[in-house]
Amino acid sequence: MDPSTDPESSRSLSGLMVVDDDEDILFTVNSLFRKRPFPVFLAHSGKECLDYLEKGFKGVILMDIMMPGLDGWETIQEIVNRDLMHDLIISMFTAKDVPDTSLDHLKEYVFDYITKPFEPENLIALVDDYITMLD
Amino acid sequence: MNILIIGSSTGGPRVIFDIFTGIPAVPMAIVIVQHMPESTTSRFARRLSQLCSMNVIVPNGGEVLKPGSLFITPGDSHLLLKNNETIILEKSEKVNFVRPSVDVTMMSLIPDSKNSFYGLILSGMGSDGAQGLMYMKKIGAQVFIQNPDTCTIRSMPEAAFRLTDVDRVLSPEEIHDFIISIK
Repeated sequence: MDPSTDPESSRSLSGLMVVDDDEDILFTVNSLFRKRPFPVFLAHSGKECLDYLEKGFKGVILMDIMMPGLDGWETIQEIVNRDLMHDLIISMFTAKDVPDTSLDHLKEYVFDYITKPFEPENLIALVDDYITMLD
Repeated sequence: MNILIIGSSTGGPRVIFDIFTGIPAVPMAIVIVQHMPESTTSRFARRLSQLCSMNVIVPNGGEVLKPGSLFITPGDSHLLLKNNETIILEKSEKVNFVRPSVDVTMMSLIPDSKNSFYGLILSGMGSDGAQGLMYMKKIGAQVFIQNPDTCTIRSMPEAAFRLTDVDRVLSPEEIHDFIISIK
């Protein structure tokens, strides 16, 4: 996580959270958005994502699917179970381009589905658009 | 009156934003059924109102369809059209795992000769809207799907395509042009 950004002190800000166990992806996305006017939070696991949400994070979440511990879908289910699905736009952020049909019951919580590898310009434009929506 | 029902799920919002960017107040009532949480509905609607000249409305129930209006179905409610004109919101059971369900809205229409119906299925997971689009075709609607090759998730339009002899398969640009062409 960017040390200057703490969800407790950024409650009024819309931010971006990237949830991924791949350190390279976290680094790359963080670098892409470093100069944007919103904080970027890096979560290495579903549990870390939930911790940020419990602390008050609001904004856009890019959620990897395949992660040790809670995977992306299980994390979303937990977000719903804990009633944390407020002021959030969640996009799956994954190398898998076809979602499992057994996860249809969670589709209403997933706004978008971004596949990796991604075009940096497209990702920035999309996240900017969603952040604007939440402002 | 021209009535267009649009069904959309994962990956749909970004294509909806593309489609409606620059759309004038066309002589058509449009209802969007987007799978999304209730807390997102007003923001989604506000974004759309910034992009197009349609009168964007998140209904509370009881509103009457009017040309030039774009109704956004609230999250966590099914939207039905009573007598093809009055909006009814219901918290009944989820259909196809979702509320709102595209099928519920499309299948609430009744055949009549005074309205022209159009149905459209965009990107999304699962098969919601497939039954509804088939029903709309049966009552005389023109029905379309977003070209699956342009979809983030192709399951929903493909499910509709398997069930129904759709009139056209359209890219987002062609959907935009179709809406503008309505007179």
